[in-house]
Amino acid sequence: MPERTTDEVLLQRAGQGDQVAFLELYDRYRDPIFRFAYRLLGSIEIAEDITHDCFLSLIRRPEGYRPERAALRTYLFGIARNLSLKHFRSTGRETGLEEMTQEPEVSPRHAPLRRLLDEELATHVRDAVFRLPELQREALILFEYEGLSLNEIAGVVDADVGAIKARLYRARESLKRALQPYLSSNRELNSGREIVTLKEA
Amino acid sequence: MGVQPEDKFDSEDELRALLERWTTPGPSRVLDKRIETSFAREFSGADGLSRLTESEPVLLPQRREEVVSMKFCSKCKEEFADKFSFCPVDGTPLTAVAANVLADPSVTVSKNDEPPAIQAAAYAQSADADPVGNDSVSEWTAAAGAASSTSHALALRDEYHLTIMSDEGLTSRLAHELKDVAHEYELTWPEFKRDPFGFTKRTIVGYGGMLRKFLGKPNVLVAMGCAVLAMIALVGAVALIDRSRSAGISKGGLIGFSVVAAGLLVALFSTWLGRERGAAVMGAEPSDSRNVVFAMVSSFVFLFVILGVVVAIDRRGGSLLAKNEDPNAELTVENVFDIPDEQPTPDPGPAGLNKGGGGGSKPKFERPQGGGGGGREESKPASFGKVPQASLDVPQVVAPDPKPPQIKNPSLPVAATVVADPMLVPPDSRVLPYGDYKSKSTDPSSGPGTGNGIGTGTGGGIGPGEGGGLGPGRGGNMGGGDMRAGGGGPGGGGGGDYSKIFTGKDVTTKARLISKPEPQYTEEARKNQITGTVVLKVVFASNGSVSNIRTVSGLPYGLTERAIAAARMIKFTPATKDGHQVSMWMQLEYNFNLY
Repeated sequence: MPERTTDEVLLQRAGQGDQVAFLELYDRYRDPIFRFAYRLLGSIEIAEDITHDCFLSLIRRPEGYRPERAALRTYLFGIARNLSLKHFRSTGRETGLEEMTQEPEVSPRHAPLRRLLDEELATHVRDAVFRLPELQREALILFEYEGLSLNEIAGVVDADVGAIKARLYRARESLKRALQPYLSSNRELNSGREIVTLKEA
Repeated sequence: MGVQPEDKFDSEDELRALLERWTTPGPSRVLDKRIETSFAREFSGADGLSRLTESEPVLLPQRREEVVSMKFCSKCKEEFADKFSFCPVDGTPLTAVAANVLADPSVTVSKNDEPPAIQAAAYAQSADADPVGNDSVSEWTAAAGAASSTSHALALRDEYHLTIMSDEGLTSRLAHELKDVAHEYELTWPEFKRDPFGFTKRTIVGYGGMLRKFLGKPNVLVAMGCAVLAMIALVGAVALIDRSRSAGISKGGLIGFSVVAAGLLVALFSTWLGRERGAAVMGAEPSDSRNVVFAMVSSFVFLFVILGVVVAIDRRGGSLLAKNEDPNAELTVENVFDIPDEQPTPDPGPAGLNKGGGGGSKPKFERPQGGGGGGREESKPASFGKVPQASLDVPQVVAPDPKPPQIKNPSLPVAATVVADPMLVPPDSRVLPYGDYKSKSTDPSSGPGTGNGIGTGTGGGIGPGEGGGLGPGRGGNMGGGDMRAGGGGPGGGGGGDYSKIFTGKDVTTKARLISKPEPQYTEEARKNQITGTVVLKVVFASNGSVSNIRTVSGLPYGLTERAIAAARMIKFTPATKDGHQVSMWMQLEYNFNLY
C-alpha cells in the first residue's frame, strides 16, 4: 500500500505550482473547512467563499504555515476562522436564519410525521447553536462536529486549553437548557431510529 | 439536588446525539472548479507577469508606483495617462512611452529608445534562440529563465483590451449631461438678458459654424446624400405599394424596386456594421469613417422625424378623407341620404362595436363599420328592447317598432329587420318588444328620431345614426362611420385540451399517491458508501402509469436505476382538471442514506 504523502510535502509542491498536489490537499480538507464555515455562518455561498479563500491563501503564502507549530488542519481551521470573523465584521451581522433554507431534507422514506419531527428537531438544534456566543460556538463546532482535540482548538482560536474547556462547558450548558424539551424524548426517538436503521440495513 | 454522574453522562450523550441531527450540505462542484481555476490563475502567465514585476521591475515600469506611466498616440502625437488603451481623440491603440523609464535610475539599459516592454520581448526572443544567454544583457537578470513566460505575459499585454472609460448607466450619464446643459444655460442667462438679440445672433452664428464645419468634413455630404437617397427610395417603395391597389401598377416592377431600395440600404450599412477596425466605410478614409457614420445616422434621424410628421399629417387627413369616401359602396344597399359632415363620436360599447378589432361574415379580417338610427318623432326617448333579426342581404321592409300595430290575421306577416351583419347581431330569443338595447327607458317609445326606426337618428335602424343599421354611423351595419361589412373577428376559445401534461398549479386536484415502493441499495453502492439524493422528474399519466422519467440528478453504482425502477412501480390516483383525468408533472426525490 503506497504511503500517504504528508501535508507538508504536498504543500511544498503546491507552492511550486503542482496542481495535483494542491488538489490532493484540497480534497483532504475541503469538507471539514466547508462544514466549519457553514456552521459558523449559516450560508452555503459564504462558506464556499471562505473555503475558496482559505485554500487560496495557503498557496499565496505557503511560508505562513510552520509545521513545527501545528498540523496543517489546525492551521487551515485557523485561517477559516479568521476569514469568518472578517466576514462578521465586514457585514456586521451573522447570517439570518431565513437564509438557511438549503438544509438537507430528511429522507422521504420516513413517515411524514417522523420526517416533520426530524426537521423540526434539526432546526431547533441549529437555532440553539446559533444563539451561542461566537467564541462558544466555534469551540463547540470544532469539538463536537469536527472532532478536534482541546489542544488543537486552542491552537485554532489562539487561546489556552482552560479557556476552551470553560467555553465548551458553558456552550453545553446553554444547549442543554435550550434543548431541554428534546433531551428526554430524544431517547425514544433514538431507539426508534435504531430499529428503522436495522430494518433498512 | 445536584446532577448525578450517571445522569450527567446520559445527558452529555443525548446532547451529542441531538447535535448530530444538524447535518450540513456538501460544497457544490462549482467550488471545486473555482479552486482549480484560481490555482491555475495563480500560477498562470498573468500571475507570472506580476511575480516577474515584483522581482524585476524594469520589465514593466508602469507597475512601479514611483513611475508616472504615460502612453503615446502615434497618430496625434499626444501622450495620455496609462489608464487609456486607445487614444481618446482618434481611437488609435496607444503605445507605452519610454521616456519615463529612461528617467528611472534603476534602469541600466538606457541607450535604447524602445519601450522597455518591447526590449524585454526582443530579449525574450533572443533568449529563446540562444538559451545560453548573453553577458551584455545580464542586467535583464533572471528573465532568461522565465523567457517563455515573459513573452507570454507580454503577448497578453498586446491583446485587444476594451477600456471602459465610464461605467455609469445611461440614465445617470443622461442626467449628468442635462445637468451640464442646465449649468451652461445658467451661466449664459445673464448674458442673454443683457443683450438678447446679440446673444441669439452669436448663438446662431456659432451653431451655424459648427454645422458648416461638420458638413465640410470629407465625405460627410456624400454619406448624408446616400442615406437620404436610400431612405427616399424605401419610402417611395412603400408609397407605391400603398397606391398599387388602386393604380394597378405591375407587381413585378414594384417588388424589383423594393428589392433595389432595400439592397441599397443594406449595402449602406453593411460596410459600417461589418467593418473591421480601421477599415473604410463606404470607401472613405479610415480616419473619416467616424464622420461618415455620424452623417448617415444624423440624416436617418432627420428623415425619420420628417417621415413621422408626414405620417401624422396623413393620418389626420385620412380620417377626414374617409368621411367623403365609401370604399364599400357596392355594399351600401339603401337608406343613403344626405350625409351630414359632423357625426357624433360613436359611443363605446357593443352597440356598434367601435371598440372591436373585427368581426362579421367576411372571410378575412376587416373592421365592420356603419350604423343606423331612426325614430317616430315621439317625445319620449327610445325604450329598451331587443334587436330584430339582422341581415345585410335582404333589404329592410319593416322597421322595428316597440309598439307594433296589432293586425289580426295578417295576410302577409313580415318580420321587422335591421340592416346589419347577422354575425354581429345574433338572434335574440327573449320575449321583449323591439327597442334600443342601450336605452334605460322602459316606457314603449320609438324615440324622437325620424324614418320609422328606433332612437334619435334617421332611418329604419336603431340608434343615433343614419340608415337601417345599429348605433352611430351611416348606411346600415354597425361599428360607426360609413357602412362596411366586417370580417374575421377573433375566434373564440377552443375547448380544453386535457391530453397535455399539466403542472401542479394547473390541475384541479393533484395526483395522490397510493403506494410508493422504496428503492433498495445496490451492493456496489453500499460498498462504496454512496449516499445522496436521486431527483427524478416524471409524469403521473392520466392512465395511471408513470412515464417520461427524466433524471434531474443521479447517483452512481446503479442507485439512479433503482430509483427509476421504484418510480415506475408507484401507484397513484391521477390528477384531475375540470373533472377529467389528466397527466401531471411530478418531481420525485429518493434519498439514499447509510446508517
